[in-house]
Amino acid sequence: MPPRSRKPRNDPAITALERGVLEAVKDKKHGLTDAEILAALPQEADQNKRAIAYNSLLSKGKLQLLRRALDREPLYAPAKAEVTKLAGLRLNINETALYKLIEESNNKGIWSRDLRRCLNLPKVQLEKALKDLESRKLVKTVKSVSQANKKIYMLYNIQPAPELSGGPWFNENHDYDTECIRIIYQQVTALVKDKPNLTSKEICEKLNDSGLLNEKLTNDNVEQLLGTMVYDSMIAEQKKQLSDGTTKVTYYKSTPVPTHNALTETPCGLCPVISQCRPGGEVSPENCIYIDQWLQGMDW
Amino acid sequence: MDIPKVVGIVVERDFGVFVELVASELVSSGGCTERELVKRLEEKDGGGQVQRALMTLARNGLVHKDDGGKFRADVSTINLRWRFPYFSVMVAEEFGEEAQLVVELLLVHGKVTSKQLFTDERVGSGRISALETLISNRVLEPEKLAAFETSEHPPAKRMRSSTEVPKTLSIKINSREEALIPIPDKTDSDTTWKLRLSQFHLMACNKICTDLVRQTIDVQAGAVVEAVLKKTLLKEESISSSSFQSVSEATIVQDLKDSGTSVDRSALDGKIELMCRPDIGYLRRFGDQLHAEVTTMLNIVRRKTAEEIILKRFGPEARRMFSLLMHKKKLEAKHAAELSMLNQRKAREMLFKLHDAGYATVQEVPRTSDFKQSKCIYIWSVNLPEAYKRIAQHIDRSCLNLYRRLKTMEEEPREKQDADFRRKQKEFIEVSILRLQINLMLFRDLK
Repeated sequence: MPPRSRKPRNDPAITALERGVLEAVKDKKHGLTDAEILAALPQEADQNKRAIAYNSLLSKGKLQLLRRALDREPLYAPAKAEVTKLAGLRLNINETALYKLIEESNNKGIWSRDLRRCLNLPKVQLEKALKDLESRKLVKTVKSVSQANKKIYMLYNIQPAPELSGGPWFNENHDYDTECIRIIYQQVTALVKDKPNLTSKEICEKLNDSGLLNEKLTNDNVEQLLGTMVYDSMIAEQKKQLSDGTTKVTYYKSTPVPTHNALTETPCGLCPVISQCRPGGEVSPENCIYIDQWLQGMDW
Repeated sequence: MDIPKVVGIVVERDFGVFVELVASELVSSGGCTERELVKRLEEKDGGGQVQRALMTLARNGLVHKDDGGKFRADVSTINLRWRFPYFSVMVAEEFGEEAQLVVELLLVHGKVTSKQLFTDERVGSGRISALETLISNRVLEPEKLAAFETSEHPPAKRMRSSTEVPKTLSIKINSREEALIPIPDKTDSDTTWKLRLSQFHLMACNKICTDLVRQTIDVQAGAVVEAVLKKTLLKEESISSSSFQSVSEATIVQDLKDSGTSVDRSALDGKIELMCRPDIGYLRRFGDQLHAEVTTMLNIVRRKTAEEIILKRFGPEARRMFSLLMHKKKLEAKHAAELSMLNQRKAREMLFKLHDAGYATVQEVPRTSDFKQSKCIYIWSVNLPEAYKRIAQHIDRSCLNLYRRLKTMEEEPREKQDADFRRKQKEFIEVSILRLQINLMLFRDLK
């Protein structure tokens, strides 16, 4: 058996041939057959050398292999940029497939279970490949605010989507940053007090100009915040129908409404065991300790 | 809520133990004849006590006899007796102390004749004008209106001097008819007078609405609303009547000037326009006529009171969730969490707290025909009338508990050294019960 020919390491002829092939297929996105490439080459090259050159370029990701529909003859075409990039990363087959899927998910990320379902890989192999990608800082794990138990993978340099990170109101622990929100509440209250009947857009602009937050707020973020302030009765909203059929919503400082609440001023109004209260029972009004405390501290 | 017990407490407080037994028996049985009552209460002196008890209850309008001869208790009127101290204070604020004395006499005795009214030493020299005021404001009415003539003549002028005693006073019953009510003199002992208890609710409603406008806008706006309400509520039988009359702006301005309030017309117009705005909704304008949106104002106060109760009971997150559900009507838990800016666990906790207290409801909507739980959507909402009903029940329960505690304190052996402190504690409890009853009026009676 003849010895297998080894790919020469720094064979200038192969490198020149590779350059020649690349030049021949340049801008030929539908690809060229071997015969067409041979005709286009400036120098003669035997079949072996051409084969070595094609394989080298394919492994480097600079050439891609297509097939002619008519007679299934192989065609050689210049590779797309992402294939070149993937080839440059020197990933194995599993890692390449994983990387492609994770890349496609963009900033929304992909769940590890979805990865396993798509690739049908055994768990051990999948985890090994993901670990390898993570160690090379090609992908990262992100937790979603809505589903904290899910492991979501995305490319390392991509910022997660607002649905995952939660937006500007969330802290690193994926919980609402109550201190920050409280400060924003005070700022908004001061704004609507100084100038009543502001729209959410105007409030958003003023908050962004104030520089209180590191990231820019969108109108949706501000409307979410203003909604909670309306529910907490800090501000009130007024809806006005405009002549073009749209509705203009403005916000102003609300005045407190006089309430008639005597219930929570008595101990029974706040009693946690009122459902168990019975005359003569273990919990009864006759010997209730809450009523005792209330009467001891009675305030006219 | 144990209605017979609540009824029993107030009747025992005002009329004694035996009358309370009779009233409780009537409430629990739904109505019975005198003979049945005697038999049930096992009376031995031939029904004398039962008869006297029934007369006491009838005189105060707490029972009535139906066509079948059965006596039936009027539970709502009995419950109104909890609020009599408040009504008395309202009359004093509105009409003066003389009027308060007349009303208190009627609250104690139920009905009084003209002779009793004028010979009672507690009612002073201003009784004529007080009586006139109470009649013209429909707090007082004669028991048999059919005995009097009706006429379509314009109303007689109100007397300014208390020394003149007019023969008749005309009051408008509705838009077309008037009644000429003879003012009794000392010789006329036939007329029996009673209180129109529903008028107290209207007065309370007036007060709540006026306070709301005063605090949310200003005093002048409150005076406008008060003037509108005084003109309209006096003509109506109940708050829920849909035929509230409108009042012209000129009339309101004149009333404000008559009451001594300084009127800046342009500022007043601005206030009226503000109150007529759809998002405020205190008044509605029909040309130059103004109509008070009483239901809107009461709903605002009820809603805010309910929110405050939830705030104190469950915290600010629960109040926010309740308010969100009132705004948005129906939501899933995750949407509610997002809109309220609470994490999902906290949002779910608040929703279930509100549900357990009866303030929120959840509806299960299956997505598959097998009603599999994992495939169902759960939609949360607030049913306001149901929430108000729960609050009213809670208030009833609290009143009952406090009264039981009061009874226990009275039955306990007294020690001399803390007699004054115990007296203060009892007064404190009684005031708390009264305040709870005023609260209850908002959620149950003013509709």
